[in-house]
Amino acid sequence: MDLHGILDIAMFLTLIVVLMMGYPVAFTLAGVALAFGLLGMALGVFQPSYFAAFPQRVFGTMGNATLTAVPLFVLMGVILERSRIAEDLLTTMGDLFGRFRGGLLYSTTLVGALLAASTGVVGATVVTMGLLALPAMLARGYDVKIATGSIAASGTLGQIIPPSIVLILLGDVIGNANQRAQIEMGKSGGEAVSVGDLFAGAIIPGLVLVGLYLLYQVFIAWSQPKAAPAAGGEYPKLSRVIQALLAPLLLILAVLGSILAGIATATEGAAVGAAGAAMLAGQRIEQDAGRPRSFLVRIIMAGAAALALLVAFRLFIDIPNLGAQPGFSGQLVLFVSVTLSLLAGVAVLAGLWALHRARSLGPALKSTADINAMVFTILIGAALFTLVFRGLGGDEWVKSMLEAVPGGLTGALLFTFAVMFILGFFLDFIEICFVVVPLVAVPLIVMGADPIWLAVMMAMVLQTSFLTPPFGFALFYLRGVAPPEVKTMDIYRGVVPFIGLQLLAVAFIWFIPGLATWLPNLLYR
Amino acid sequence: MSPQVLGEPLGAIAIIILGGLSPFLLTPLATAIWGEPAAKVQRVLNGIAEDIATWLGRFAQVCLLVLAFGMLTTVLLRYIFGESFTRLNETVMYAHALGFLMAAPVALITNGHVRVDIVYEQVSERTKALLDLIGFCVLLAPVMLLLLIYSGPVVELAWRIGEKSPETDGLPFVFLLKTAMPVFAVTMLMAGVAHAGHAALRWRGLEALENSTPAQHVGP
Repeated sequence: MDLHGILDIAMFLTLIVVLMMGYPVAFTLAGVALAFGLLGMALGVFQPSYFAAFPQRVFGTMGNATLTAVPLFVLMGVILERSRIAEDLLTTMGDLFGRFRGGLLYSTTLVGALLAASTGVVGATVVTMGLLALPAMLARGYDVKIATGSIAASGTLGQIIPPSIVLILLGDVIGNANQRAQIEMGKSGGEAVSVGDLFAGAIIPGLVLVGLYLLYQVFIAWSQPKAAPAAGGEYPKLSRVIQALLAPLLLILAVLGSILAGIATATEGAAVGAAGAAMLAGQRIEQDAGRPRSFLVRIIMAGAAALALLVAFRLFIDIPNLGAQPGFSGQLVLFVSVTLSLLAGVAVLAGLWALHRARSLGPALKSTADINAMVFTILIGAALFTLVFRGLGGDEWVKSMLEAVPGGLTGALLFTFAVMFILGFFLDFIEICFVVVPLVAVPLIVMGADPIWLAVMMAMVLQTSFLTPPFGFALFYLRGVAPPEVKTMDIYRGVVPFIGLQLLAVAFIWFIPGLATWLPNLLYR
Repeated sequence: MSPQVLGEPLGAIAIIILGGLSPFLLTPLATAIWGEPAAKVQRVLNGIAEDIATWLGRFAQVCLLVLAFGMLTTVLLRYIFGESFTRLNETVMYAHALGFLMAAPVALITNGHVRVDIVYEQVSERTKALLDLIGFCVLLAPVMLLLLIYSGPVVELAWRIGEKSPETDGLPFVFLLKTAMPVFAVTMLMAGVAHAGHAALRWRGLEALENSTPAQHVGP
């Protein structure tokens, strides 16, 4: 092996060791890369011009329109967290299923799925369920392991059920890789891959996963009645169920619906979602403060109605065309549409004002800004890492390694997923997304992998990294809010069966690729 | 005053500012080595850096709001009215870029950046402080200096030609947006000095080994 290859491998191993030291990931990535770049320069195998390309990469990140969806979805999730939708859903569903054996388990999974489809932020879901559902389950005599496992697993559904941050990041990375692969294969005008494609592709696999969770929980309730007893309680009124379901369903319809229908890009859908979340949260906050009919609520309601009218209006009338026509009717159409739009905007402001009055706006913005800064600084750090890795000839090395794996494409894919799964124990999905995926995706697509299928598989594997001890986000969140009598080992043992289910779902998509590719082909091709 | 006029002395100004500030990069180390006398300087620096980072963070939060409203307006304009404005799209892009660049320093100071804490969580508070100090010296500071050095020529060229949007109806502020890169590097260095400075103070026992805010798992 030549010096290039040795430096590449050494760089990767050094990265993993230095990461363990716990300095923020973003700067560890970049720092290790810089050190190896300098080393390569000293040994005469690295061109400093790769360093000179670093500012361009940073600037490219600044102008990346796809990734603009990240802050918007995070903002949406953080605002929704303040609206207590999750709490409502959880108590209502708990009452609804509580009388069945294992009912609280099913309600956890269903609420996890609903929240996952309305936002994509794992932490909030796990924390809420850990605070509400876990004590309830423990008090009813549920087994600690099955309870914690269910909560952690349903919390991570947010990463596979769109809209999700993982899919946005993968959409960007795989989209670029796909372009480069097309060029390499000498094809032009091949199909581009968008975040919308991945959203469509991930829906069915997400539902498969929900189904597997539920089946497993039914099995537990049937085989070990003591581990998952019936909780009793009264059926909730239908009106309460509808009220609890209304908000998430509306958001799902507006955001996912508009993206899947091809009306909006993922980024635009995210903006609509954030606006909707602000209105919903504003209304909830006023209601909880005992002002269900306050001025703010009226404005929000009017704005929501205006938005609905506007959409309906647009469905039946060609506003751009009519508005451009001279004469009274054109003017009227324009006037009405502009007024309705402004009303919607004012309603969003009213929602934000309600949040501000409840002292929630500042913290929400602060935590959005933090998460956002974290994701993008990791992206910048990973950009330098991949630059240096490429400068050291790592691309060729990864490519030849993937081609050397026996079994052709199948072998290369299995190898990739296995590596990602193992890395998931040490790293979290953002680093894997930005560091590993760009390196392997181009050769894999050139070898014949379908980009959408590949991305969905990767998303599934990455989602597992949320669940794998010791470094799984979901486990940390749960540990943070679980009562002290719940041992960390209980949580670790509890998620093991769910990791198994996760792998089972991966196997399903492996053998039936249509699960991931059928819907996007139907919608967009 | 056109950017063309400003372009020439920019490099000189930058060198003077950076040259003047660079000794401060060493204060965390000095604090760790000598303790009290350097610690006085360090505490003052911490205060200044934290104030600046906090204000930048607020600016970033405003950018996030601008981003959200700008994007919402874009959607409404396009879907309802079939209109699209390059300037609005670019404003959204600027807000996005500044939204994460300017939030990063304060996130560092408040421990908002994600860590792999398999080892980090196991070691004593004092070792944590040492790790943070070393991390700044060998990871963060060199990287930000690299970005600073290599973005210099890019930014200078952008100022000299007064770089505008590639679109004819776009915003004429690309040279300012590019300037955000060195600003990011400098403010990250500043925040890094404060972060490492606190670590040095804790390591020397000059600051309470408070249960230092656990690495927040604010991740998505």
